[in-house]
Amino acid sequence: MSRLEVYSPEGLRMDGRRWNELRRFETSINTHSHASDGSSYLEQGNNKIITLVKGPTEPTLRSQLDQTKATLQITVNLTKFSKFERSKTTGSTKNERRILEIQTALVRTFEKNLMLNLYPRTIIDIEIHVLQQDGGVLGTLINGITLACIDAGIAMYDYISGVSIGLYDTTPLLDVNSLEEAAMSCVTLGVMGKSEKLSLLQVEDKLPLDRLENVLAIGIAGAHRIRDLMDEALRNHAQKRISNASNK
Amino acid sequence: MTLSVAEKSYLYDALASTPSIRPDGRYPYQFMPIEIYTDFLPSSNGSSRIIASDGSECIVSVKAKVVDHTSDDDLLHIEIDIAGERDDALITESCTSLFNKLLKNIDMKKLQLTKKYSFKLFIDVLVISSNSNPVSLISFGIYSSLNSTSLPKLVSNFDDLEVEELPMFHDYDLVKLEVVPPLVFVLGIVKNNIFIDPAASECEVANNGLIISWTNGKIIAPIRTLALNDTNTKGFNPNLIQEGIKLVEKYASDIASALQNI
Repeated sequence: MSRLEVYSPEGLRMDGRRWNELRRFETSINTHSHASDGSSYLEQGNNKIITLVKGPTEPTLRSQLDQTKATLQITVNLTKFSKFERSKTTGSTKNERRILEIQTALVRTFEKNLMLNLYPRTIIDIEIHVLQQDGGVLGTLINGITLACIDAGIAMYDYISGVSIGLYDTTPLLDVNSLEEAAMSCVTLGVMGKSEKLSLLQVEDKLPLDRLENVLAIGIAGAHRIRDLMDEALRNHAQKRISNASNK
Repeated sequence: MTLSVAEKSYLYDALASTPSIRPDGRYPYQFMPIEIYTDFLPSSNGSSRIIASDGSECIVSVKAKVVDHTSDDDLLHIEIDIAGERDDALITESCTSLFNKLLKNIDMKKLQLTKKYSFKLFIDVLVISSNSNPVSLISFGIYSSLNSTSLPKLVSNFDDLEVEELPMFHDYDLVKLEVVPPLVFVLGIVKNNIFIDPAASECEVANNGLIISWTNGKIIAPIRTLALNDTNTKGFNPNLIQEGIKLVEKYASDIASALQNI
């Protein structure tokens, strides 16, 4: 057990937040307009990720061609310098099982949310570079993809917002950082818009079943808040673009 | 980038004429505008993000670790990752080998902490997108990230061979790393003209290319030729190598001082 106090009796966490507070959430879209069709840069706490959406375009391989819908491909690049200690693996991190698992989870989540049937015989390639990670990375990846897909103009049913929740004794803690993530059981949620529908639920640790409802409730509330933050950022961006266009 | 036959021939004639006319109106010695941000990764000792006006982008992180240099004398480790390319792709491997050779020119004495211990630098390069050969952009990125690198300040003794002690560092004071990293320039050759920093469209019609490295006011090894495309590559007049070297010698110090001022 770490010597740091994860949750003080006064109700404060290591970084000074209360149990139901999110981390700093800053985002911008259309950051790489030359390199991709849609892009976003997202800082959620100390997580920093760049998401690039390329497509829908004609696939290079015949095997990627689907007559009825677009093929969705997601590549996650967890850079070696993204953690505090540089990762020691000598070879490539690209084919590590954990990363393949994350990629599959993301594809399955977004396959249901993006209207892929509108883009038959094409491929949508999503590339994510994680420049820095500090807990709850999967949730951040979900938010980054949602923003970049909206920037790319790909039809989707609703926002998906991701967040991680930890359970410390009986208190659920919203939006865990890496220290908290290491100290307790965590759940990652992907929530559809303002609904209570979950499009992703990842639990890698043991969690008492009778606490799960509590954890999910605070998680869904946090995800709704993230959806609002993303929506606000997008609307601000759109406003700026409109005023730039009309000033010309 | 795919150009039609007519476009290619127009571009070739423009670049081959005297004086040469570049599609974006640049002089032969002129670079595309670049944007550089440094120190944006708090978990790295130094970092930089460099974006060229054609959308090529590269992120460099420098992390340091204390090692015993009596057993591990390789104090610089560089890894280049080009998005969309495999780790064993030709472009990735040739870039890595180029920079491995090049960074031998850095004065390793600057990394020494005590008689026994040194800092080992891990330089990780991530090329997010590139439209032409990225080596020049990567070298600018490495240059500015090493310039923005600060390392913890040593408070224990320099001489630690007699007294067995581990290096101790100041709680928050940092020392700026003072090294002069080399720069790499890519030059395009069209007929008898040579120009710096070829854009994607210029690469498409270039007869050949040159990689010239420079540090501290002089040209250094490696100097390489580089085929910029598969269709137009031809031999070139050897005098052009001289000309290219002169061009780099003349303008490189300006570029270095511009990068230094960030």
